[in-house]
Amino acid sequence: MSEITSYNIHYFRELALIGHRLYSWELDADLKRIGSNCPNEAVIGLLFPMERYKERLRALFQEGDQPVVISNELGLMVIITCKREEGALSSTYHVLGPAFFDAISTQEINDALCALRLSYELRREVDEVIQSLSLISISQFAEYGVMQHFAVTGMRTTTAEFRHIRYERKAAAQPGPSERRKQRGLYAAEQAMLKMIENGVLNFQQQHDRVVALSHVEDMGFGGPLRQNKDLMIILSSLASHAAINGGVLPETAQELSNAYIREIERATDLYDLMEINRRMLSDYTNRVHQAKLKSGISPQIKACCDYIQMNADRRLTADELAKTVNYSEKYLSTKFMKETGQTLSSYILNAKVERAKLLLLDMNMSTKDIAASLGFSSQSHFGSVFKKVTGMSPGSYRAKNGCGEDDRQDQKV
Amino acid sequence: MGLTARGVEMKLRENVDYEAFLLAVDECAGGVWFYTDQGDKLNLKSVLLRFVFSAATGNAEVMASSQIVLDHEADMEKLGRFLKTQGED
Repeated sequence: MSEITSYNIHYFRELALIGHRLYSWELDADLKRIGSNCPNEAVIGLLFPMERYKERLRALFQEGDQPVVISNELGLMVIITCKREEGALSSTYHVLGPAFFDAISTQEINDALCALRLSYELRREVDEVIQSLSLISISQFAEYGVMQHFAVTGMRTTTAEFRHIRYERKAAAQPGPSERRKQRGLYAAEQAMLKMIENGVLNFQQQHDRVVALSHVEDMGFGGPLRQNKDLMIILSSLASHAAINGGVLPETAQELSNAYIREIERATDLYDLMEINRRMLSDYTNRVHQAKLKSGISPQIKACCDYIQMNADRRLTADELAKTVNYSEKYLSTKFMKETGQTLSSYILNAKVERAKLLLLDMNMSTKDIAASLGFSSQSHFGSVFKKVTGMSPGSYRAKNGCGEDDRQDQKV
Repeated sequence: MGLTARGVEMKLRENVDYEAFLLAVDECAGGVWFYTDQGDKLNLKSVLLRFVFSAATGNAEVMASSQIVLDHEADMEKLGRFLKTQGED
């Protein structure tokens, strides 16, 4: 290495250390440490073990000189430069970092650490380590990477030319039979909840709680649990917005609402905040659909009757019971219901039951016989004939069409 | 080495190469746990808890009183060179 290069590297390292407390490391061809200006080299070096990247780094630097950025699950990152001399790779890797790439990373680590209830001794050690690391934006860190590259190789580069090794999440195991059944149960519960938004059923809380009970965050992914839950809620906001449009809310209004809630979700600072926004958001969408349906010429009494049917579709319902809920006589309710909705009470009830049955059929925990009983049908054959009349296919064919056929029934026996 | 209700309990050797140790932990089939006298219990296969373990290596007192517990005795093959056997205490 020439004197100028040595001086440039030394000067750059001082600059990075003073400017942003960024540590520099020299590693040999096997990614073992040769030296560092990090005062707590043994501990900080462990935070970002480089040896596991040996083969990939070698392959990347065989392809070209441009710096390589590596990031991990905790939001830590390093930038590596390796000089090529007369076509061959130098035996020294120059590493800058590790640094946290934004405030969210450290906040989420702190939240997760609080939940762990570490002993005072360990918590103090962890806090010292976090404090000793740089917190820097990706663009600033990349600029230091450009400077490091110039100091080591004497060549100019741009951040657009950087290569990136992202952390590898373990491939999710193929879901087993019970997991598949659970996923279908969750899907069914979610669909039922969205259907309630679409129908403007104000009392959706019970269904919402079922979805929450079936949902779980697999493991700590990029950005941690807060980020992962924010992403899930943004998706839910979008689905709820579509359900509201289907229910009669103007597309522009639903889109505005969705954007406003996504902004709120992004601003949330903890999971409790998110839960509160979630409840408010779903209630808001449902209320707006409810109001839109009232304006559509359906009287509040008939709307209440429809809501009651949707909420109680899983049991036997009679015209007498429905009439009592809205204080009408049975005959008056039947006539008014037909006039406003265009269908008879019994047809509306059967359609609601079939819609519920479609969701339950995706849940392999339940046999067709159980579904028939749970929806208040007198027998499995009665359920089968009603289902076929409405959908044009038998419950078994519906299951098979939706990928819940024989194979899955085999699973159930496992 | 001792087989307890927690699993196979051992102590880390002094001056162990922690980076090599953690790479070996990745190869283990079962869980590998780090217990401290202060009541901490860290799963060394979790990225976050490995971060905590790395910080703990800076505290000689904590490390000296800690135990490594293996869920699978067979993983001793992979970690044996980092751990003290009973006669070495």
